[in-house]
Amino acid sequence: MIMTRPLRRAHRWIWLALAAALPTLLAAGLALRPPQVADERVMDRITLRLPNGTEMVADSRELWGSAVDAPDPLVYWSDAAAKSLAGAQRMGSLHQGRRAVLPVPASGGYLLLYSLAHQQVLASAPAPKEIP
Amino acid sequence: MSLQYQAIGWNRQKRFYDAILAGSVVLYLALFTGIGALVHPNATAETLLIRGFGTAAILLLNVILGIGPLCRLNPRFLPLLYNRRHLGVTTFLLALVHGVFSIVQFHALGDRNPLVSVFVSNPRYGSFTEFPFQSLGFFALLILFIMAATSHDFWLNNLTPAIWKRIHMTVYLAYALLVAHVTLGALQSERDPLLAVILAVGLGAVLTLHLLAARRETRTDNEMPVTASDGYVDVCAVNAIPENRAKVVCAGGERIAVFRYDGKVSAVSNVCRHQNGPLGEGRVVDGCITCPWHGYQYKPENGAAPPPFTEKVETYAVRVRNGRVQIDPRANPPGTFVEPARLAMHATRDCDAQLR
Repeated sequence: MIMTRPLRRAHRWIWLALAAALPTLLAAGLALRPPQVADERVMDRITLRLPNGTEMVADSRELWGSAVDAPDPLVYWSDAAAKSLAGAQRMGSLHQGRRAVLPVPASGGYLLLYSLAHQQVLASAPAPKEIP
Repeated sequence: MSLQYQAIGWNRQKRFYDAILAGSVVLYLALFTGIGALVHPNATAETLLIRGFGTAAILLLNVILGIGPLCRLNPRFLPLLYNRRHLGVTTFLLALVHGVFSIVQFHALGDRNPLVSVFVSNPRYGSFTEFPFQSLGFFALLILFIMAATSHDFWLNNLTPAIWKRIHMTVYLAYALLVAHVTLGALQSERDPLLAVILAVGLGAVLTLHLLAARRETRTDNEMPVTASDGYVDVCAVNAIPENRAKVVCAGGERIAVFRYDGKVSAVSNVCRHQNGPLGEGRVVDGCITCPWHGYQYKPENGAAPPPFTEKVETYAVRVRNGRVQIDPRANPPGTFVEPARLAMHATRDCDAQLR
């Protein structure tokens, strides 16, 4: 038997499967994405989680000012204010439009805002020691 | 068809299409980055380039996947198919630039190997919306690389068409991975609906074209020709086949192309030995059946490529009874000579007059 008939059958089943799976995936991906926070003040808030389980809410704009608008901002913890990431620990990403929960390694120290796009530390601020 | 392997067998058409392709890609990237810089002044050049190359790659992949069914539905798109491999290699190169830029930008500054970082920097493999989408893009890029690297006829001949075809069918997996890569990646943070609309429209167009083409092909396969007592099947009236063209019939489980030319009728397999192109959609040029995809040629009476080429396709016994073409659906070995059915001259003239 020439090989095309099984191939045509395989094509047909592959595309039927893709026709079912891909639109479902796209619809689910759009429907389940984290809701956009309308209140800019809420969006600016980040939660710092200490090793003992205590959570502190902070305002990212109060900490770093307009540097939070830089693309792809990452948050690092350091025991001293620094302009480089030497010795700093990465805590997480400051996603735009979603609430960031960042595990802080210790109470105190400094929070560095690093722009992955610009590849530099844009701002640093003392980490809050208690719930504001 | 080639006696010696060349990187690219350039001709005027290929240069023309490649020039249009290169110009379109450059224009797209210029427009994307230019408009992007105006709309998103905070975005860096690297970010705009990453997105520009990524969107260009997935747009081009949509075009590539649409070409096959478009040609099944309308032969006027066949010139695009002739250049599809160049589109595929271009897609891989665009995706490669996107991938390399992304890895340098997001994974090259840590203490881990950047490629390892792609897979371990985000460990949330159990999450749907926070799934590490980068890994999906990586595997899609790997598939596109394998396809681009084996796209040359050198690999087609050495791997055999069956294996080559299976390798290149993984493009469907690559497409699924890329749709997932964009859906679980950029669309999770990008709130501008434009990207979602572009992805949905491209996906909808590709799926619709494939399903329409599949329905048409299934209808052709399900047509049951009438079988005579001696095993011959009735194909059609002689005058239903235009001069130097073919009628495709599905008999004995396979498609057979029945050509009419120079007052004769011959039947061969519909499957070109090169890339399984539909010979029955080609025409007889200089006495040879010419595949519409890449121009491979075969003699109608024995299914063999003219010397010095060596490709051969199966042939079928054919006869004409009462103005109707009948074929024996049992295939002869590739290259077997079969005496063509000869048409009476007045019948040929009558047919031509009817077709005019």
